Amino acid sequence: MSANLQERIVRYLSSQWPDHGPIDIVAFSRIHGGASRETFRVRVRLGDGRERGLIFRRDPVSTLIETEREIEFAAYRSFADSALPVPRALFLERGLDWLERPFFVMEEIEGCTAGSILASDPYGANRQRIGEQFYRILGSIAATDARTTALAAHVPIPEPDAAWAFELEKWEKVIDEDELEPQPIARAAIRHLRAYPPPPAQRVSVVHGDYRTGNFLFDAGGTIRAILDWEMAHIGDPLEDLAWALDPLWSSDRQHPGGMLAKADAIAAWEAASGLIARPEALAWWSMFASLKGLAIWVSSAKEFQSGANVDPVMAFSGLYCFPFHNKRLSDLLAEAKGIRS
Amino acid sequence: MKPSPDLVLNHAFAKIATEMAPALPQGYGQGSATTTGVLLLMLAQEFNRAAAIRKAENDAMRLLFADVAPTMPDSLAGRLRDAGRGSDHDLSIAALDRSNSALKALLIALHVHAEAAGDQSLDRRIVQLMQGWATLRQVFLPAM
Repeated sequence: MSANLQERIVRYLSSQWPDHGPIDIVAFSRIHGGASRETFRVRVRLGDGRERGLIFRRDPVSTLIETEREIEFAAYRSFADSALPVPRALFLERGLDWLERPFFVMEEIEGCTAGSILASDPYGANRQRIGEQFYRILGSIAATDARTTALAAHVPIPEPDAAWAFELEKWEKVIDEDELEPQPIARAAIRHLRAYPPPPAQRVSVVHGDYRTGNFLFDAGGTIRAILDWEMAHIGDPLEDLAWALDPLWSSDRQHPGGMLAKADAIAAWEAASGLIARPEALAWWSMFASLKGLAIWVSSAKEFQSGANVDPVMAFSGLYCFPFHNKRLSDLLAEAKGIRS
Repeated sequence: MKPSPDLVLNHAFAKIATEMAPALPQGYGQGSATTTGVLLLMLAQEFNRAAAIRKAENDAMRLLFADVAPTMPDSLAGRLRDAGRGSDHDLSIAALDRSNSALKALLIALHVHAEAAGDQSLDRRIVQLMQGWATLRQVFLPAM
């Protein structure tokens, strides 16, 4: 299958680059993680001897989050000519002819690595430097005029006072459709979030949707070189991304969300770059929402694995580890909101 | 059963994560092998406690339902009373999960009623129960 896939990739690239002469694959491997897409690292040699590193992101038979590849592709395109580090998105194919499933192609960012949510100190001596960049970049996403981006053509643009409800309904629907067991904590959280809505968004902006440790690449010098995994990108309240980035699941170091800055420093860096204020009551709402959204994703992944639709071990990991983590987190936040002391 | 299943799973995790996975080329295969090893580690934690956790949750819900049924409206009282009289005769995980699901569906209905009725005492009691269960169901992993 891999050889067949490589032949198909060569045929596809030859059709896209007819002036580049014969194209050969010199290295090919599948990348672990990214359960929402099958991701392949492909190094090709062009007819003139030059080599190019490419990333192919192919729709899986089943997916962790049923997102449209157009959205992710548009999100990359939205920031292609900005200071924001994203890989260049090259081609998008919606049909099944080339690789049996839709896919898109990006340039590879070479010589970099991603942090792991299971690492005790994923960034080591670069923790401060990477953390400052991480929140500054997130702030710059929030500062971008969403209406001018390529993404705006693919997703709804909610009013500032409706962004929260739009997202809450979206993820409640995921739980409705995918839960294999009743979820009393999630249901209580949904009712609470609906009963006590956040203030209107200060601005609706591009929301990455999965901005966290593990979804960006950095080099040995501690420079963030690429923000990845935009498949859940949408337009909404930028506090959604901030709360998601600060969620405790992304690092075992509870004092430094994501293994980077302390929470207060992270918020300050984000506020400085975005020009917005992370009001505690608004951030508290989005923090509870972040855990609910996480829970919905893990409910979906558990269903995918249980049904046999996708038995990648990452899907089982999500159901067995991430789900109980966010269930506990949600119950703690609910108890706190109701004035219950543990 | 000897060796104990949790011991077997823990050693299998160590074998996969520290010996087998590192011997594979970096990439999807190595990552998947490591993740598979971690799954075994989590299942080792779950093995001993799985039945006890479910039985304790089911007992606590039945006790709550029997306790509050007399003060509930007719639409809920009968279901709560019936559920409160139940018990778990089959202690297999599958059977405990089935009764756990049925009881949690009723718990959601009771919680909705408590909130709508402004019954803060019952609301808090339910949240505290759920918080306790969520605490017991956590899975812990070593930093890797």
